Amino acid sequence: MALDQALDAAVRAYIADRHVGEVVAARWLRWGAADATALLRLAEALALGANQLADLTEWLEDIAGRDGAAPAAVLGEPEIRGILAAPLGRSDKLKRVKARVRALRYPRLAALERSLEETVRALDLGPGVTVRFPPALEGDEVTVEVRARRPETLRDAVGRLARALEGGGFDRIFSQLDEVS
Amino acid sequence: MSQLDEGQLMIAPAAPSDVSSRAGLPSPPAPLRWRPEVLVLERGCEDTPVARRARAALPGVPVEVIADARTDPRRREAEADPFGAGKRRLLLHRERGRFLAACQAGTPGLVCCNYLTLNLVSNCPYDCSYCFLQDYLANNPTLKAVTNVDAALAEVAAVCDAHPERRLRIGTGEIADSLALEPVLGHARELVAFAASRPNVVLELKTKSDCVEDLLTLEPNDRVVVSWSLTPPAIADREEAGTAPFAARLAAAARCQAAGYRVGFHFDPLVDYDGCEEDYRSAVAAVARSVDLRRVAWLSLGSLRATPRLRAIVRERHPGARVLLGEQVPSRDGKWRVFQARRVALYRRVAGWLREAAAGAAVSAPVYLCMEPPEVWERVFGGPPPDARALGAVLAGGER
Repeated sequence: MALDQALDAAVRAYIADRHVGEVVAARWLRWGAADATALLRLAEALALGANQLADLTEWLEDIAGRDGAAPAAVLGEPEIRGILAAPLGRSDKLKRVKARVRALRYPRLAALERSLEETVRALDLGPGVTVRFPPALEGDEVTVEVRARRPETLRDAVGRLARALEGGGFDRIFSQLDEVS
Repeated sequence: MSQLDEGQLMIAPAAPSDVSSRAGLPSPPAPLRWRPEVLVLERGCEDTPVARRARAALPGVPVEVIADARTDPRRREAEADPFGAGKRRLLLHRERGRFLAACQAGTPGLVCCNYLTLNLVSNCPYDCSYCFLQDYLANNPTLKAVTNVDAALAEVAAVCDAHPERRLRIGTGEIADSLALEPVLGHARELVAFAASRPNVVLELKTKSDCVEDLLTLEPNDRVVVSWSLTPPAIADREEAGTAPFAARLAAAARCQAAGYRVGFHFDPLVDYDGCEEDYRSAVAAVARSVDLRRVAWLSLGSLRATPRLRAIVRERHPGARVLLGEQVPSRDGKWRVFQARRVALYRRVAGWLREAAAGAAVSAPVYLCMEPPEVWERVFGGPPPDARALGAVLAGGER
C-alpha cells in the first residue's frame, strides 16, 4: 500500500537528509501509513541516523513477523512512550528506546543479559573488578579483570572476588550462561 | 599424489575429462516434481547418456545447444531474480576442472569431520528460503550438471588409490541436492556402482527429495548412505519450496533402508521458533517410527547459520520467511546463529531425544554437530570433540 503523498514526501525527505540506504528506505516506504508515521515521528524526535534506522526497521519488521505486533503498536507501547516523555537527553532516550526494541526482538537474549548484569551487581565486587561476557553472549567464557594502583585496593578486590567465588556467585553466572530454555 | 597433511586430505588434480562412455539408457526415470523451462546442452554433450536421459525425461522441454558452458550467453544480468532464474534452466556440460573439494564447513575454529564433496551438480531445483547457495552461487546461479561423470569418478579413484589406508566420506549434496534431479540425470547408477567397487569409500547421497526409484533398482551396498535433511513439517512446508514433504522423505528413507541401503538424517538447519521443541520431538519420533535406527549411519544437528549477505538475500527473495525470526547474533566466523546458550539448549534436547529413540538399538548411530566450535561440542556432548581425522573415521565406520 502506497503512503499518502505528504507522508511519502516527508519520509523520502528524511531518507535523503540522513543518507538512509536503499534497503532500509525501501522497507520504510512499503510500510502502511500508521507504521511509517510512527517511525517518522520517532526518527524526527531522536534524530535517528541511517544505522539506527537500519537496526530499528529490521527489528520492528521481525517483531511484526514473529509476534504480530505492528511497528506503530511497538513504538506506541507505554514503556517507549514513557522514555520519550522522560526528562532525558536525546542520546539517553535513543539508547533506551533502542534497548527496549532490541529486548522485544531478542527477548531471551535480553533477559539473559539482564539477569547476568543483576547477578554481577549482587556480587558487590567493587570498582576494581570488572566481569565481561563475550559479545552477544556467543560463548561461555567469562573475563574477570582486576585493576589496582595500590596493594590494599588489590587485596580488597581479590578478597571480594574470593568471597563471590566461595559464595557460589560465579557458579550462578556460569549456570545462567550454560543454556536458555 | 602427495602425502596427507595431518587430518586433511589432499585433492588430486582432475583426471582428463571426457564425454561419458556409458552405454545405453538407464532405467526409465521416476515421475518429476520439477521441470525446467529449457534444457541447455553444451556442444559435444548432446549424445552423452546423461543428455539422452535428460531429453527423454523432459519431453516437450525446449532444447538449446550452446558452444561453451563457460560463456553461457544467457547469464544472470538480464534477470530480476537471477538466482531464481538460474533454477528454471538446466545446463548440461562437460566439467573441465576438479570435481572433488574439501567440505566448506571445515572453517578454521569450527570442528571439521574431514568430509569431501563431489560436485556433479551446481544449484538445486528447490528453493529453500534459508539456502546458503543463494549467497554462495550468487554469481554463478545456473543450475547445471556434468555429463562426464566418468571423469569425476576417475578423480575420486585417484584419491582412493593414493590413500588406501583411509576411508573417505564423500557426498554429492553440498552445492546441490544429491537426488532431486536423479530422474533427469541418472548419476546415481554410476556413483553407487563406483562405491561398491571401492572398499575405502563411503558415499553419501543427501537429499530433501523422495526421488529414490532409481536407487531401488540398483544393488545397494553398505558403503552408500542415503540421507535426508529434515526440518519439522511446520518449516518444511513453509520454507522449503519444491521439496518432498516431511512424511514423503521418511517414506523414501524407509524404502531405501528396506532395499538394503544405510540411511542418515540431518536435522540441519535446526530452526528456533515458538513451539519448535515440540515439533522437533515429534520429528525425531517420526524418524524412529519410520526406520530401523540400528541401521542408521549417522545423525547430525546444525543450527541455522547465515552470512550477513545471505540474511539480506533471504529478506529480499523470501519476504514471508520466518527462519530469520529466531534470536540470531553474529558468531565468531561472521555467520549469524541463534545465540549460543539457546542453541546449546536446543542441541541438548534434540540429541537427547535421538539418544532416547535409539536406546533400544544395539548399535547407536553417531550424532555430530555441523559447523560448531569445540566449546559447543563440549557443552552439548560433555567432552571435547575428536579431531577431524578421528571424527571422520567414526562417521565412516572406522579407519581401515
